[in-house]
Amino acid sequence: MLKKLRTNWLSFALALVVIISLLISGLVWTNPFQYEGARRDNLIHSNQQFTTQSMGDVYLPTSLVQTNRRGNQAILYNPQVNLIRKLKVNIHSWQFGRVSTVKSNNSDVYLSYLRRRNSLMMSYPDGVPTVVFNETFSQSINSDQINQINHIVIPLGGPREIYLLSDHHYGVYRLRLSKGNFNKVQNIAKDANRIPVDHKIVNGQTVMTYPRGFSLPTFAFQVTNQNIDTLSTNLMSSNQHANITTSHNGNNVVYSNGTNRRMTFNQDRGTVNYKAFLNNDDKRTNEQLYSYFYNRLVKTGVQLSNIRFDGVNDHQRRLTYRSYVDDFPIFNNDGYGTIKLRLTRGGTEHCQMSIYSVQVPLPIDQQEVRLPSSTVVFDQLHASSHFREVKGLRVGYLWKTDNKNKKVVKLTPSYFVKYHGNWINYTELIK
Amino acid sequence: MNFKRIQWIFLFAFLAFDIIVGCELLFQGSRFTISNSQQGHQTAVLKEMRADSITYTSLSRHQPSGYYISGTRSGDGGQLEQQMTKLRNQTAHFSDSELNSEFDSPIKVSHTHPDDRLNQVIKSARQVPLGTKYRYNAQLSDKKTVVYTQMVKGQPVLNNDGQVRFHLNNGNQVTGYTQGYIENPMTLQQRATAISQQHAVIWLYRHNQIPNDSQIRWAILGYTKLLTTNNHDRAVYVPTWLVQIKTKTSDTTQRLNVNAFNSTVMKTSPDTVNMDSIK
Repeated sequence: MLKKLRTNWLSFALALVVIISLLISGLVWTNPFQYEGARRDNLIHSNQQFTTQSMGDVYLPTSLVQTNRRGNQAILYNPQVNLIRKLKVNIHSWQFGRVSTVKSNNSDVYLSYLRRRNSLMMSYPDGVPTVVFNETFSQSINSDQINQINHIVIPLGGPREIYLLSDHHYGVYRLRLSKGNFNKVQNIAKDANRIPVDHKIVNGQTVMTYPRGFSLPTFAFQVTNQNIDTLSTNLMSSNQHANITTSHNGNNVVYSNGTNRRMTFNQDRGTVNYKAFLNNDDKRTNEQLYSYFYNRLVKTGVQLSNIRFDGVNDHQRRLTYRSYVDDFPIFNNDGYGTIKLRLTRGGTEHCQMSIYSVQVPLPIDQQEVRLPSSTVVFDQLHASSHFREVKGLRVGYLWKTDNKNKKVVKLTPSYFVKYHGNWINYTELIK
Repeated sequence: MNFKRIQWIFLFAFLAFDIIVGCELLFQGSRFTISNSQQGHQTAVLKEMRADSITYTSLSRHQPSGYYISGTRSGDGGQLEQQMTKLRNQTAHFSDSELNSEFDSPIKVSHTHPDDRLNQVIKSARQVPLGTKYRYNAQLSDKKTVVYTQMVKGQPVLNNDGQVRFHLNNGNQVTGYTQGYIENPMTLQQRATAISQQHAVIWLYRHNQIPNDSQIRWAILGYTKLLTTNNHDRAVYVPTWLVQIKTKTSDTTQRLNVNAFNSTVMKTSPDTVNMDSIK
């Protein structure tokens, strides 16, 4: 054997390099995003904006749920630190082995993983592509095997593995941990506030319910106005130096570069609508939108410190980003605090946002608001005629527009339901 | 051409392919390049600064974190005034949320290390009220004043609101002090990431706040008042980079405050926010 090797070493070496080249080609083929994405996004760096928020911070999971040994679940949150960000730092140093599919298309099995005893679970507000998970947690999971991730389940004190769950087709995937320390993760739950929750699958959708009433604090914020001239320059600037013309149309100011970019600013409401016809061959895949839009967000000059990815729709072509306060989303009927970015397959880019944002918290005398259990909320909704069109339920904070005073705002906790595609305060439906 | 030679050629061709494509895959970890290009950009600006003869010692790229903090300046009947009854061997007055005191006999301190002696003084409740909450700050101190800053969430308070300022006479003796104290500092929101020291300096340069031919002597992070409210006079403090710049020609120094959360120069007199509509 050894002799054979010695005489034919050239052939063996040749075989080896051919196999390596096949592997490399395979990598490039199966993961074209990594390869092309790098080239493409290198080109968008001429902006002058700066943010301390990385892409991983914007696309961080937004809720952390602990399931104890008896199977009781609770949301964990800490008013001092973001626990998920802390977890992220831990997971950075982990290394995973192979991905294997545990089960798919079985809602019972799926639910059992959502409620796995003695575990921590991080959840995204909406499914994200695997490349986004990889970017956030410095991993390199093959995106062909797992398409979309909604939940990350970390079993405590059990096997050294984690599970990625995808609501789409109820996919459960196992990742074995080849290197990493679980001990620190267990400490994360130690000094956290808890809100009892439960997971259910209703009409094929994963829902987090709140079986018992609970209290949340109110917040006060100074409302920050972004200068509209800066915003229009940030949004409209392009490589071609075109003059931007402005025209007034009632309450609206229309900014246009004459050819392909147009922005409408509603002076009364402070909302901005931007539309651009990009080069038709500037096609981006759904996955690439996540990094492209992150770059666009940075470029708007908006403070990203409390802006998070919050949802995706329009056939995965529109991403919604929302302001959060201490782990909870903020909702406003006029769209304040929300940025919607959309890129159609035809190459039209849309941006919907406002000049108002909440950044500087103000001291307000601690008033806790008591919220009922979600069962009570569902019962109340059931009695109303709109119940059939209600599509989801979340706990968040209401930013009520006050036209008389747009300088400060009080944020009060409440339940929000998805009604005709918008998140609205549930009390609006039970009037 | 014999078979062996063909094998050799193929071996080299494939080896070259493996190395080139493999390396590219390995080294293109920068999929989302915003931070990287930012890095390159910052290095370029630093070079530009050197060309404008602006000197500086090494600037940290570490992004620290901090909080928005609310607190009130201890006023009439507050903790600071209450602690005054314990003071001995000095004449103290309290007005406008500020304690002014003159020692009966001045305290001699070292020229280079005034803190050697003052660390003992400040710890005694008979000499300085609430002194254990403060720590010596070498940067803020000079020939005439030795500054101790109140520590809030591990960071110094950079304005008078939370400082003990010892007055020095020409004989290097401490004659008395002025003190402000922030009561009940509380975090308003979760900890957030702030800009790095390097970024703060670059920001100032890019906004023409640093004159040519000058020296950046230091840049320290701490809390400064961002705004006050009409809600029981409670103020909001924000992590700030305080940068001291010395012009080489005229030998004057100036201090600039950069808000470390949103990179803006802080106003010298903070706004008052009216919270009546939401109280």
